Amino acid sequence: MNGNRELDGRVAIVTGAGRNIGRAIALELAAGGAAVVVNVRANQDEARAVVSEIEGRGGAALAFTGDVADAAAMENMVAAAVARFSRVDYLVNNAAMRGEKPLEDMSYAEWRKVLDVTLDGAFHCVKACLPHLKQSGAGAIVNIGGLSAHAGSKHRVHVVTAKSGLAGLTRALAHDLAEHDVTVNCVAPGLVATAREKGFVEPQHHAIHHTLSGKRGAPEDIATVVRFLCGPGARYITGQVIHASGGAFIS
Amino acid sequence: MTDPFRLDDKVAVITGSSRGIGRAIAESMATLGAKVVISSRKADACEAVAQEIAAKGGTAAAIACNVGRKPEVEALVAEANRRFGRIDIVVCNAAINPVFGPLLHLTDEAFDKVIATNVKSILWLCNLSIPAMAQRSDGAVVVVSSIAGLRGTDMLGLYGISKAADLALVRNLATEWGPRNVRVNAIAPGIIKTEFARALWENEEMIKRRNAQTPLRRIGMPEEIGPIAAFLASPAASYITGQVIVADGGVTIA
Repeated sequence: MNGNRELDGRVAIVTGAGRNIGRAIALELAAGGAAVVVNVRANQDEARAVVSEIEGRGGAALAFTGDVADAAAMENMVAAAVARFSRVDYLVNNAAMRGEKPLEDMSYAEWRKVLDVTLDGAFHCVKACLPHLKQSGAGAIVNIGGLSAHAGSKHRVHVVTAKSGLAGLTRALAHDLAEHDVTVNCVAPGLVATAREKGFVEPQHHAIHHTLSGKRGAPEDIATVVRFLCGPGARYITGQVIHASGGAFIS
Repeated sequence: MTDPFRLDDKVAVITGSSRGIGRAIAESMATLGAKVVISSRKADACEAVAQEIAAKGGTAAAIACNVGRKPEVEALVAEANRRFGRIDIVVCNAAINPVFGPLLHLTDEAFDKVIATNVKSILWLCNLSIPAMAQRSDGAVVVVSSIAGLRGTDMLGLYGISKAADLALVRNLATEWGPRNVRVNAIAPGIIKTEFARALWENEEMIKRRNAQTPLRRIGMPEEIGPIAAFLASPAASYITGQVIVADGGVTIA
């Protein structure tokens, strides 16, 4: 059943969980009863704040600072998770890099950097979690994709390609892990109102797409979808991309 | 903090809910606090399910309805409103699948009957219930389609055509009513162990082949579809509309 602390006794790792969608996912999985590893690349204050918030509501959480693009760091993260909580049931690959640049101006290094974090990062985390996910008995991987991976978007070849890669990774892993009762799905958010860093320029595709209600989604709207996909109500769903973009992808 | 998965005090009308997937959906929703209307062609079967839900502490009413008959659909909506005062959630689950075999031999009568029951009736029910939801700026419709609406089959062509039409219906209703905060989504189950799908799973050879093609290596249970419908109807899915949630153990990605 959904809701009612259905994730009690489970352990989740959420990457890029210091703010915005990742933070909301960490809080929501904790609200479902899971212990949560809050991964951030560098901002320890943000990670500690999320952990405090979870603990303040009576949950269990662990902050871990490490770059998803660093395979060894992710091995250490999983080791820390298991040392503290004894198991890993859910992996949420949320850490990602964004940006916008015309193809003509994009260097190979810039292309690689986005793929390195968004796609290779997910690979490293899956590999590190694999032995524990197999032990879970009801494991789940949720990859956070994006609207522009499916609709396409100008000046975002690296981002669109990396997020599309996550959709492919989702389908491939669904086959590989089904025999271990690990489901693998992807949530594709779109037009979510998130806090931006200074100097952030609104992606061009936001001017083209609109939600049916006219309102942006909140990070919490994505987090509940992730919680559902991790929980006992979604055990027959695997290999799917679930669009959470207020109808932006259909109209 | 309120649990976004709860459906407390929501009124949900679920067609075809005296057994199988519909019943599982009603049970899931009732467990999460919804007042559910159990509906199918047989009044006594509906009454039995409603009583069982009530015995477990839920709130349920039985209202018989053959969704293929417009006056009965109108009566269903009127009676649900009379009993509970409003309708917040509609689950279009009732469907028929009377024809097996190639499309070449399909009769016009069979085509018209299946399309009327599986497609047109959904439009009736939605058009009768969504405007009131829109007035309150809050409502959700869940249509139970099928992976037969996403893929071709060699024996269930007409059923597949009707289920594909359901998906287009969902996208269009979602687009029309999204601005009024009524969400419309579909579930596309694979083979689920119900009476409805008995012909598909009781043949041992067939099911062996099917399981081998399915990444999760098994067919689904009705109890695995119920929570998906409950999720889609709840605030937890408030940013999802016009979508199809495939629940098939991975068979359509294989």
